[in-house]
Amino acid sequence: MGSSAIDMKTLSSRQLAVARAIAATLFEADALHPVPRERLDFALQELRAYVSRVGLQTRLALGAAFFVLQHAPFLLIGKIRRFTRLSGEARRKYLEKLERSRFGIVMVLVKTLLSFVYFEHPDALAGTGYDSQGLLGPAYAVGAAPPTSRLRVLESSPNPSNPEEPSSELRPATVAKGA
Amino acid sequence: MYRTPTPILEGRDHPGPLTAEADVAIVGSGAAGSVAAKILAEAGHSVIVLEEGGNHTPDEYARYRPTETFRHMYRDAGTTAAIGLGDTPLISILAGRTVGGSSTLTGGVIFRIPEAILDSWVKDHGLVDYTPEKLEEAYLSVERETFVETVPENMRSASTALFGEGAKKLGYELKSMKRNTRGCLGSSRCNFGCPNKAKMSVDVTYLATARSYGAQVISDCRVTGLEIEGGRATGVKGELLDAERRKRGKVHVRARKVLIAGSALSTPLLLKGAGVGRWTRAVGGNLTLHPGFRVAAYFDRDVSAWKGALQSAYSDAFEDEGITLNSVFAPINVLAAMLPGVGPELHAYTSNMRELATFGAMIHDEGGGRVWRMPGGKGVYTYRMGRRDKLRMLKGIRILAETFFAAGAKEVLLPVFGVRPIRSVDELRFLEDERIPARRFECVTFHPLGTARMGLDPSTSVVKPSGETYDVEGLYVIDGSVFPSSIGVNSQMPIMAVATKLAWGIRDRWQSKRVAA
Repeated sequence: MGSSAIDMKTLSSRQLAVARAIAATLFEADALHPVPRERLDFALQELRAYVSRVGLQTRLALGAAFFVLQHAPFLLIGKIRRFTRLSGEARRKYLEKLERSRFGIVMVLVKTLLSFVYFEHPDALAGTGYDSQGLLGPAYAVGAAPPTSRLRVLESSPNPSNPEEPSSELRPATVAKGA
Repeated sequence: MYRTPTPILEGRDHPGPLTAEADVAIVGSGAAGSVAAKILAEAGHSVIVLEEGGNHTPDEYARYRPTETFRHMYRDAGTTAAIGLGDTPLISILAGRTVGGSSTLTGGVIFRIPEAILDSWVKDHGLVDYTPEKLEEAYLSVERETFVETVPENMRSASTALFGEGAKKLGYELKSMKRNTRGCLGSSRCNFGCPNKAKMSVDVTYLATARSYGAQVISDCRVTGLEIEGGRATGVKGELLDAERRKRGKVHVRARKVLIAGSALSTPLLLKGAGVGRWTRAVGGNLTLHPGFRVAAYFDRDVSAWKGALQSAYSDAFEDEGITLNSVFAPINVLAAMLPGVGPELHAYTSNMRELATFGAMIHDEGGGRVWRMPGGKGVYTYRMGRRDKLRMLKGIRILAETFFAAGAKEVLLPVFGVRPIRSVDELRFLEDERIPARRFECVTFHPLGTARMGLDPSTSVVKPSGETYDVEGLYVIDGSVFPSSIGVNSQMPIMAVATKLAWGIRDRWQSKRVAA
């Protein structure tokens, strides 16, 4: 992370703050079990990298979607506050109403991208009941490293047959290659 | 004679500008470009293949997570879309941008072009060389090169088996698909690069063989223009891209023949940029998409739909109505995006994905799309869905949902935004109302075709039956752009077979000229 090329083409810090609040609301099991911070960090980091590669049309649409999501609570739930300043319960009601409204397409776009990145976190993936190797690839079936570090190894190019040895086949990790 | 394959020259690593000369320059390394590269290199011609995407080896993409594959190997990270005009959904177009093109990212499904379609090509477009008999040799050649095999029933996932049970109860059967695979382990993530190197996509078949015959592949190389002198194609120009897709050096390739195989989305952009078809509006028009959709269903039992082949069975029982049913699955994170609800409700669905089954369908569409070239050369895609096609979508959604209920589903999720989960067949009645706005359909396609179509009439076609453009000598289009109509089946094999036929023609005419000279 941290490349200027990515910074220019991806979400702003304000948009990321909105995305984080949406993800925390979307994926919480209930009020007593909020989404762990580490999963949100992972999802936001991946979202940022992902958006740096989407086309201009999608980037513009996403920008508009975050703007609407942040500023439309008054229209749907009558609260004169930005989305990020709502209580957890109000956020959930607002997103539910938005999803069922004629502007549901706004929610679809954001929910799709957030689901893409959130459910790649090994713990979130495990929570779905997925128990196969295909999704993460054979490289992640080896070793006893904790799930998150197993995900990150792609960025540092290990040899899948022996995680201790660097691979000669993969290039050194760069933001564009691994981001 | 086979040699060690030439290394792929990666534009991102190449210092400075690049100039080259060859008999043939091929734009695009996907299903069509790779086939032509192999055939022409084998015939002794010097061939350069220029690919806009990066070079991702099977070892690399085997380890990519789905979003990494999206970012590195799909055009626009998988977010390309056709904008719906009128009563039309936004249609997501998944297309590869990598060495090997979309063939590295499809389910590997192999269908021949239905005979009824070829009949219409002959009758309506005068393509007398495109009968099933005259394509047979090309089909056999592709099947040999890409290891086509029938998916055994024991490779079907429980999701597909359940759907098959429902189909049987409703009076129709599933048939086994053919795919280009060798040693498939059923990891159910073909669309994100095979994790087991079992898919025989063109990067490991045709293109590898072409490189053994000396063809040179340049990746990270965006072709921006065609060079035409005195009405004849003489080469291409473009730019090398770095790993972050920024320009880093110019490319100039002089060639005696230029073959364009950039897909139905990109090929018309190059042709329009060169002024081809300026007076007819045929270039970029006639875009067909095979709009596809899937229905998901929850059962009271463990389905674990990710265990088995991603695509293994199909039904042509509704072919007369323009609907083909295909088994399909998607990675968990992609499927989760279609589940309803927020917070606890969404969690209830995502935490039970073991009980989720899916099946898909696509429609044989009329072709209401167009590729527009914007200033700077970028493309914008529009699509207007005909009433007939909208009705086909509604019918297809209903068939899928009814079949799942027949199989015992407790809840069915429809690809219609804003519609709550359905719990009985009776609740599907609303699909009979054609006033449902089509923009609420969730729609995706892997098969854009037909934006530089082949035909005998230069006023409505872009290329001759030989693939050569009417406007420019020595300039050929060999990809799915040349299809004069939608085909109603997965397009990988049809594109490869037509490219084979066109490349054989180019090779044979060249040899005849040499002999005559």
